[in-house]
Amino acid sequence: MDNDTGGWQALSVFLPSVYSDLDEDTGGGCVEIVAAFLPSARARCEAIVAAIAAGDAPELKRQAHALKGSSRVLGLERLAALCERLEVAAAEGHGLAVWRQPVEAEVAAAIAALENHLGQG
Amino acid sequence: MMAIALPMDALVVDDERVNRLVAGKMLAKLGFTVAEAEGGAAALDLLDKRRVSLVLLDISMPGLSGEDVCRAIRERWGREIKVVAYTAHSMPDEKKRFQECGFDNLLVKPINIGRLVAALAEIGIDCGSA
Repeated sequence: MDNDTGGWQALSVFLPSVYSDLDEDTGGGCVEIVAAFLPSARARCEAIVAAIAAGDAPELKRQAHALKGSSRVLGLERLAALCERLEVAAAEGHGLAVWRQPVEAEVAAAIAALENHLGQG
Repeated sequence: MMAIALPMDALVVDDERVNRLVAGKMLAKLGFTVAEAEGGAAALDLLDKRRVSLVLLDISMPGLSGEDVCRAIRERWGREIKVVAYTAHSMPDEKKRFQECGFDNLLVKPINIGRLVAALAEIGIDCGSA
């Protein structure tokens, strides 16, 4: 399986310091931002899986790019790095099928980390 | 360049709601009144009805791209609206292309309030000590 390029697996799922900085910068807005992120991340994950199945590299790149941005701002470092790797894979345009399982797993891990963090708050 | 004083109206244009919320809440914290649009066509419709002083504009959007929208703003309203590219694109050749489209500045995602204040200061918008 050729999906380890870039070392995204070694990164943290969630960086609480990034999240707390964002919360301060947005005047305590992170609860609302997370509420927007959760359905968006699920929808983009489904769109990524569909694009992989269809071999639609431009759509895969667009969805991965969008998910990269929204995950990085919340401190979801590993999902953001995986999405960046997906953008590269989409640009290369081959071997896309190997990315389905990692994407689904990382989106689930990111959502669980956010929900766990909110639960602790 | 003469500094522009707050309060100001701003428009955040991005197809991803998370990005609209992040920028919008930071701008609100700085004293801006903020409107949102989820696409280029909606942004131009809104600007027809309600003039703002600042637009933060995503580049990669379905339909009209940020570059298309910036060109349309310049055609309709000249340079009276400050337009900042709000994007994860940051390659040197892309920055030059954005300038040629008429953007006043570039704000690379992910943003924080310090970088937002700095980017606005570079185009003459003084957020003071906010």
